[in-house]
Amino acid sequence: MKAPLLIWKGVVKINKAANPPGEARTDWAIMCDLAQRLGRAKYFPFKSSREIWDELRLASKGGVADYYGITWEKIDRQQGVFWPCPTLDHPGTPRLFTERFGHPDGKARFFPIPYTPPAEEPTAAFPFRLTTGRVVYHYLSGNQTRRLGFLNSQAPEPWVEVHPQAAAQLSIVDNELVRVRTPRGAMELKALVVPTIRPDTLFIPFHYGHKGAVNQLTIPAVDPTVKIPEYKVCAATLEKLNAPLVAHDGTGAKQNFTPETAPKMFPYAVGETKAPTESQGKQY
Amino acid sequence: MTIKTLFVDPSRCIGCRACEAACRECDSHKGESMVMVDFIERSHSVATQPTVCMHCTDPVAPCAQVCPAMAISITPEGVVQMADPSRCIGCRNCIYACPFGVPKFDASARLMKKCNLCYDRTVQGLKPWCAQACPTQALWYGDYEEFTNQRQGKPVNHTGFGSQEVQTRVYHVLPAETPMLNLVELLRERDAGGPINTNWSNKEAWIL
Repeated sequence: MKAPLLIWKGVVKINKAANPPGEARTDWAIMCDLAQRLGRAKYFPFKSSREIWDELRLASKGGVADYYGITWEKIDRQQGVFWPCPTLDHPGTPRLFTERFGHPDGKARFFPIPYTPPAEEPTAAFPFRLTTGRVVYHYLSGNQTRRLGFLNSQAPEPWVEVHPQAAAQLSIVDNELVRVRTPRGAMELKALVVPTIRPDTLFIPFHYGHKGAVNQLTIPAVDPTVKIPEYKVCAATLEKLNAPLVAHDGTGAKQNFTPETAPKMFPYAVGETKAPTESQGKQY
Repeated sequence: MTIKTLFVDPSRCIGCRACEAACRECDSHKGESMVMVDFIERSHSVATQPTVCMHCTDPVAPCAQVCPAMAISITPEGVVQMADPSRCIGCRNCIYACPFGVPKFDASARLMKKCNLCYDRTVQGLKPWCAQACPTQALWYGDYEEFTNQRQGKPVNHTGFGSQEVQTRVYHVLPAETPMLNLVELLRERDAGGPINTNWSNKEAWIL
């Protein structure tokens, strides 16, 4: 049914295991009906996923990732075909650039990357570097894994990892509820005091939503070229829960990029949401 | 006759819980794992330890000995079985008797559940699911000679609890110079400030 483009550029075919139950429909049929409702049915005349695949073959013909020769029969016969595969009798190209690279002179290019400091450096008010990452039980936003009993029971909520040296200075003990604060906001979560982190660094897993979302605290800076958000480093402070909550006025943190000066990634400002507010939504 | 058994090597355990996932998939206790992976002391290290039923041979199966309903049977091979659902009265004697903390009590089923060394698989010469799934051979299935030929470390099936000693079918793999796992001695060592009581106040190690 599907022929996803995988990162190793092999094209495989995932066959239908069962007919959709009840009123469930395939994605491509929904897309085609949607196109019809939007008055663009003439561009979506597909009657099967195979027709869509053949359209992709035709559309990519002569391109860099040439799918033209990758027919369903060939995928079945070879148990997957690697692009580029420009003609019907071409076996596919499992490895690119064995003779020459894609540049006119046939050579590859190296691009040295000069070091740029993070947009926000730790200061006296925000002395830690906060970084975020994964835990073994969850996948990305946890949309799939936080629904599974065992996986969720192993890591039901986020925590902050802090080194024993830092914890001792702040008289924070293991499993204590603490507050992590950055110029953007604060969240309250349990401390995990472990020697497997640098004393100047805090770690919070990012798999959680709402009040457990660490990206409430991370900086909205993006890298200037491809606009990858700088979620992995920002300045933060750690405090006991009885410390007063300071207003989020950016006190003390040196910002190389602010939300105002950061390169814009979207047509709307960073931090704004494009979706209408709830009250506006009711007017539609 | 060589006895095939499990060898538990905590030094190889990476805490991935593949054993738990594999165990949980088994139809005889679907959704529940009989092998447990624990962080030993997370505040000091990331070391993890898988715990399976050790299948005590001397004294033979304390859990079965204390069972008033004779629900826990021992096979001719010396494998201690899970409680028989038709006999188990849910008294939890076995849970108190087990020196390793292995049996788990399912309150909703009023039934004790524990690892039975995948008896249905091992009688047919297959590995238990946990050993099948383990990517680092922290849980390894085979006989003693095979182990000593292939692997490093000292397989030990004697565990000391103070003045008492338990011999088990399942082996722990210890560092070569360790004659036996003596838990009371380890606790004493810890309380005396042994290697586990690392002092983190030394700031020289880090450039802040």
